[in-house]
Amino acid sequence: MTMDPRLRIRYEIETMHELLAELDYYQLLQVKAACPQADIDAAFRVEGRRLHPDRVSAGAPPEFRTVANTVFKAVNDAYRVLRDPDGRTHYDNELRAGRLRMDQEARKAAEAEAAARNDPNKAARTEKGGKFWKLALQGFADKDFNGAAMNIQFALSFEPDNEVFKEWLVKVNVAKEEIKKEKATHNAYKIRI
Amino acid sequence: MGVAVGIDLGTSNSCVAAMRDGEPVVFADQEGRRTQPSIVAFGYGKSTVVGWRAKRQLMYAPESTVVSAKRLIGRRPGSEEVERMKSQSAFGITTGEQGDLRIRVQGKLFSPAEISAHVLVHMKRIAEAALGETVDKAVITVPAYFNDNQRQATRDAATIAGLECLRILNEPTAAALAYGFKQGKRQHIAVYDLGGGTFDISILRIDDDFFEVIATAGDTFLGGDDFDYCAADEFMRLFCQQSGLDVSENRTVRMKLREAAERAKVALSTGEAVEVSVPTLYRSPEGKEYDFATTLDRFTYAQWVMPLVQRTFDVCEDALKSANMGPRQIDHVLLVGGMTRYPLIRDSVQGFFQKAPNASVNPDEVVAIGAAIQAHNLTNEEETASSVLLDVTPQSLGVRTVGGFCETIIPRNTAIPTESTKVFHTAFEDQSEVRISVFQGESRMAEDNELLGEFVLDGLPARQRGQVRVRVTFEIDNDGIVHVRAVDSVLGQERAIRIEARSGLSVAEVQTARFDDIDF
Repeated sequence: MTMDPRLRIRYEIETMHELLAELDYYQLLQVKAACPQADIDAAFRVEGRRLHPDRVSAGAPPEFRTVANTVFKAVNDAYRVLRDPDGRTHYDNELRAGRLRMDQEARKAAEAEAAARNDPNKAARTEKGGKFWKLALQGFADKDFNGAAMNIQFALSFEPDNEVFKEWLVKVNVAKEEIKKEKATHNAYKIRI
Repeated sequence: MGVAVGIDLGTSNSCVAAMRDGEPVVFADQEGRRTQPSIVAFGYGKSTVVGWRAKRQLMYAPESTVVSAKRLIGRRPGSEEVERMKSQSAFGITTGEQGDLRIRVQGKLFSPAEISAHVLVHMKRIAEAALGETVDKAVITVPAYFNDNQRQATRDAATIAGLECLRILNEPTAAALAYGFKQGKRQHIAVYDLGGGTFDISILRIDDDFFEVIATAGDTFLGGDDFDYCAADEFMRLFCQQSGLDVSENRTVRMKLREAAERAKVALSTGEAVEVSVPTLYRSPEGKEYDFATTLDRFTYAQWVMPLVQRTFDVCEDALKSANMGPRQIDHVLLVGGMTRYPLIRDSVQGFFQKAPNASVNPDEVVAIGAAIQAHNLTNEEETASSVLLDVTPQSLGVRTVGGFCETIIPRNTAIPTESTKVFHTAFEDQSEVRISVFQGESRMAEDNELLGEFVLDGLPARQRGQVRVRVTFEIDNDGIVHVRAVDSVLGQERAIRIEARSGLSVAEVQTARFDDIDF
């Protein structure tokens, strides 16, 4: 005997609602904790299609709408954390400590961690490299991209493996190209008649 | 049971549509016009008129004709936008008894929501006349960048109009839904929506029937109106120079110049130059008549409005940055809103995104069509294969903390529905109440953001400082509307709190406002 698919999804959502406090973010998206990052995006789209309150609530009693909303808020929350690899790493640590949800404090800690990692001012690891690095950042801020590129090259000669330096070199070169193009087209999106 | 429609409640024009036999249909009035001016005129033949008939009254009785009420909805008296509107409007804008914003016409006071309700009733009746059936439910669209106050006030307008509001839907999202309906493709699109009064940019990922908004940004006080006021100001400057008079404060003169500016804008969309002429623009107290005439070419006009166009691209850059994307990663650019008909805007958008905008949608109707599709999705019990829309909250939600700073609780561009919980502590001994002010906006200082409301948790048990912990949950629902509920840890009681002071309408007022006097 088969069940009406709409009733089945309602039943599933009600069950998820009852167990909500015990489900971790991976379980909410129905993926394995060790899954590749791309699976997270795909899973969200699958679960979003299945569980979105707009899709399951038409004709259902209003109490069910509240239940479906509560479940979907948790799914949204799970995706918001797991879609970002840094956020996911932080959550994995939380999960090992037995915390199933990222609360406001944990989220802030994760953000601060990511910000520190991405803070270019703290990227240099040697004194001499740091000197040139500082000049490079200053050059970038002043839009002197040629100078910035030169100083990053110098900094790299002291720290050839520094990934942040390498990333910034690409960034500076892109900025250089854009300036060139802009000069050629006279700022393309300004109005010309 | 009545029909569910989609209504694009615009600043300048409104449009209504519904799904019939699996296809969206836009309803025209008896004269075949598919959009209606969002104008409400009082006292014309003793009754209130809306739409095209109201627009005719604008020229000879601007002080009793309300235009662009959407620019005032959900705003507070004294705010920068309201002051600007005051200096531009021929009708009165004042403060009501409860400190809320009111529109004064012929000695009577109306809330902006009541004016919008008149427009909604007009649209509902047009749909009913075309369908021969009752319309009692609607999806109503708002600019994506509308804050909680503005959304709530729009909901109130629907209630006054006797419509069940199925959803407050963001205009660019509605446009994307209409565009991607039955396309079944995977793509990134940007919706550039420049309407009569507001600008929005939304970036979406469409995967077959799954519509996911990645980022949105906007300016709720930047639209076609501003282009007209900008050109009218230049006309005024020229007229004062030509005539040697200073009539810059004269409302009738300003209204006429604004009309002339709008006509010039339309003419310049096809011609290279236009002869602007307003006979008898001003009659001096001595009876001397002054005409206004000038020639305006595209280049001069473009120079005048350039700063406004540039502002839209600043907003676009902000949205792309939030989405972590560059203009080249966008597969298609949709143009929405009447202003995007103008070559000036089309060319600039093409320059910015480095690709020709998609020309397959009708910028005046696509939002209403999207709203109709969503209304169908939300009411249809038989089909399950409807599209899923996942929108985001356009502005960060936060609370005021020590020193007047704003602490973010839910950051902008978070997918909705969503909720987040924050624990508040009592700050001194035996503190019996905690006062929480909720804001929306991106500034670090609370004062610079939009105050949504303040609430007080009282009756807290007498304990040492910091011992009473109150868990407050902030929720943003599918309409983008904020709800707050709180539990204190000692008593463990849950209290739902509705944020107060929104559109300035009490609930009773919403229920009793009537429209018996509308002449359809």
